[in-house]
Amino acid sequence: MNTVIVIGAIAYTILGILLFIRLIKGPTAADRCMAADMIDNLICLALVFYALYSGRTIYLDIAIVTALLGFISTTFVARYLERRLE
Amino acid sequence: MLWLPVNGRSLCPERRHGMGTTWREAVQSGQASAETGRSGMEMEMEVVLFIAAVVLLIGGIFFAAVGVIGMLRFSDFYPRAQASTCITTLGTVGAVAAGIILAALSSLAAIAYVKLVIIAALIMISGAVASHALAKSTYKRGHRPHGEGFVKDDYKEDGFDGN
Repeated sequence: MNTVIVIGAIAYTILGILLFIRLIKGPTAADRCMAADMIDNLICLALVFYALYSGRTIYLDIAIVTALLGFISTTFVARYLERRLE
Repeated sequence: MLWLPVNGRSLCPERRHGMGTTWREAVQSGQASAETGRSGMEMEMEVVLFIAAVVLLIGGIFFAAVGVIGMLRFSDFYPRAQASTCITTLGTVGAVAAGIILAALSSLAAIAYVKLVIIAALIMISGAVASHALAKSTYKRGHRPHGEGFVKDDYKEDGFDGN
């Protein structure tokens, strides 16, 4: 069962690292913002599996905070981008 | 005095007729496994739950991979935003459902289930709100899809795009 947990954590981490390509490449700022939000969500899911692997429930608190940070930052960047009409 | 054990068996009423056995006798007769003390029926239940967790996890990883590939390969912002919703909804459901089953099997603390449900609800609700906010902001800045444009544009009919 440990193998399955480790495979889940590593898979979500690799998918999160792959999204950095979009973060670097994205032509508009909204692309980068969306990629950052998705990286946050994928790392949050990888943290869920790490909490199962180590047997401590404290990592689930970090997972909740990470998902919250991604959502809040994306919303505020979107509001900032909407206001600046050049 | 009936509860004094005699020959490894206590003489309380339900044990006098041999209905109950001690734990050691159950292990030696092969009815329970030595480490966990569980009987054969519960071991089958564990294997079924473990297989269900693996299937859910594979589904979650598959849909998250589909979302990531979509975000890397599409050539415009709006299709990328639509591919990103695959990650927040289906990837989260697969991972958290597998996490709940694996937490039950590996006997994590009871608060972990509440936190896992909170994580799932938070990611799914916040994903929709953040995607809509970003899409609206790019629309207001004048970005339209390449080629023909939108098939149906409700913002333009409402006069929302500044015209």
